[in-house]
Amino acid sequence: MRKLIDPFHWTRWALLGGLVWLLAACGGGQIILHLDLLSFIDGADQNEEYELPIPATGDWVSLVDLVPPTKVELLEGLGTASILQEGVLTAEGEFDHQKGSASAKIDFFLGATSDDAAASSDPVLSVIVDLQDSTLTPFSATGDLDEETLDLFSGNEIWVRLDISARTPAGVGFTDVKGEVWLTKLAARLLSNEDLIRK
Amino acid sequence: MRRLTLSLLAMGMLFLVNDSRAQGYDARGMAMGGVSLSQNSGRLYRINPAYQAVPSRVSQRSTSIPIPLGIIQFIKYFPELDPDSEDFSAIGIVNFISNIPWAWEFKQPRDPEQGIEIWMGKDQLVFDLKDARDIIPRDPYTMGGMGHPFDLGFKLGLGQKGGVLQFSLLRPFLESEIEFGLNDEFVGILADAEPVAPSTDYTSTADALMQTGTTSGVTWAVPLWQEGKNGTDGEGGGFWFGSAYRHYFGGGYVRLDGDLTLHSGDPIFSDAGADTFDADFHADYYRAWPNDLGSVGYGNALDLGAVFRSGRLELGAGIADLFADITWKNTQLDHSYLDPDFNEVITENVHQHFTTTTDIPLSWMLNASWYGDRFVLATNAVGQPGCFSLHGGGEFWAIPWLALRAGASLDQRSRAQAGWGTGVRMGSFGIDLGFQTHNLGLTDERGVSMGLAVTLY
Repeated sequence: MRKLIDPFHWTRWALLGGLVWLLAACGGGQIILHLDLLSFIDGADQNEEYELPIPATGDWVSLVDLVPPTKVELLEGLGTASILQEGVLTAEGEFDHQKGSASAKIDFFLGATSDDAAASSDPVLSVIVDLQDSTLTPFSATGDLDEETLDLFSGNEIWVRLDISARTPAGVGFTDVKGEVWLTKLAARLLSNEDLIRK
Repeated sequence: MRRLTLSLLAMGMLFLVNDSRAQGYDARGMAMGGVSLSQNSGRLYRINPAYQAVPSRVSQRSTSIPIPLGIIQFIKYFPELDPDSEDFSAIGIVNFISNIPWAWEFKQPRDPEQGIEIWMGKDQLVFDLKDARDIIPRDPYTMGGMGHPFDLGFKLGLGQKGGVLQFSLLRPFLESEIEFGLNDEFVGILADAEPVAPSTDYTSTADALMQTGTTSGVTWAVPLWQEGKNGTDGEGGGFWFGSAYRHYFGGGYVRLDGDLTLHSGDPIFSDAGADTFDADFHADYYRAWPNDLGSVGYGNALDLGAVFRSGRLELGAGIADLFADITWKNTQLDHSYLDPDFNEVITENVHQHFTTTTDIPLSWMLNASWYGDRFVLATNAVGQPGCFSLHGGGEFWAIPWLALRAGASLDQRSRAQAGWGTGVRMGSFGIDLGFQTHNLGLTDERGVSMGLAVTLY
């Protein structure tokens, strides 16, 4: 005689994830997930040199695609069992800017798939810094994640992309900019207050 | 519904916890470190059948009536059982049941810190379970116990030399054993928040047995030597031997033997989409209950005990459920495992209507006491399924109407506990007050219980 006692597809992660969630849920349910997104990004994609002329249109011009769409593995079983209430994305980095005054904008994109992340034009976090000749310019940004973005973390994976663009004030002509940029931190802090057992 | 099920499971498990874990409510015993004196402990009679024939000492003849002060807190702090309530907390119920305030909780241990934190990176996975770390067993953990809600029977005296026959007609039992173990690596990530290591096996085993039914039997306790007034007045002495035969009638049992192994990936989170953990899960599930008279479980047990008394000294040794087991003739066995191809738990019926035997674990107790003119010293060592505890304490009548008491114990989790208290006697009436520390909550913090009793001398 052979019968299935579990009509659902038990993922392997669910076994351990279930144990952890059970303990957390028994205790009242607050779960804090610290996700080191940077660790999933290839080392070669964490810094990039740039050198290009920026037209004096006042528009943002792509400076460098620092991080192409990159997959981040999530805890299968945890995401499906949780409803995330809060999320904060934090990024830090540094420009070693050698030439040309300009403003730089760093945009962080998240998507459920590689295509989603590549096609997204709605950054979940942005920061603008002013770059001066021969200056080390650190940047940092922290932003809350909205409900739609938090839903992305309920899957088994999430994709991240990072673009940097630059502009100069209108009417100045072309400005040649040159330098190098490093991403030193990209992390998410996710919070769930849900009591698993109540569901 | 899941919450309710979990709560009931937790309540059931803790209900079955050995009686040595249960919080005391005898004020005199609490003050003396939880010792069992022949005048105040059913445990002595249950484990040592010789005590059926041992007369009480004149100086110790009294009746203690506990005042259930804790009932006030019991009502005030009764946990929310409605799963739909916002105040519902499964761990709160577990904590409450493990710490039922029969005595007044003079100092309550703090509630466990709630929630967990998880740190994740490509090659990093860390779980911090906060206070839940304390309930992760570092060594194979066993708990359980034998409970008898009542013993229906009668006693026959056979004269001064013939001893006592005690017939037990109906003594229901509920016995449980739960063994749970994690390998060192699993303990590390759950109890010490160590990072998950790549390509490592994290193994847990869980065996649980619960069996119930009733026993009938006869106890014969006889004095082998006596002098004076059996030491009841502090002079003379005696040696008593007791034995009991009991027949077990098993009403049913369930047993689960399971193991789970999680093998971590290398790296922990792989780009190739491989599983972070490979899981291997197996469990055998035995169950038996009678469907006719012939398939009732049957077994036999022997209890032995002896008490030696010489003047002020009293020594006792008892062992219960010697050679005890139950044979079940209508057992079914199911086997469950995780099918790696489909990630599904499969259960197959392996065997049915076959015979199995379950053990009834031994209980034993050693006790010694000294009854002076103005003081009593006593100590007990108790071994029961899944635990060992040691108790010692003393009572000193500083003045004829005032007793001072103190004691210490090593509880079943090998933690030192203390007791202290006092007693006031006014003629044939007295009041006892006792305090005892405990670690019955889910955190490491000690609580202090206070017991109050009226004693009739």
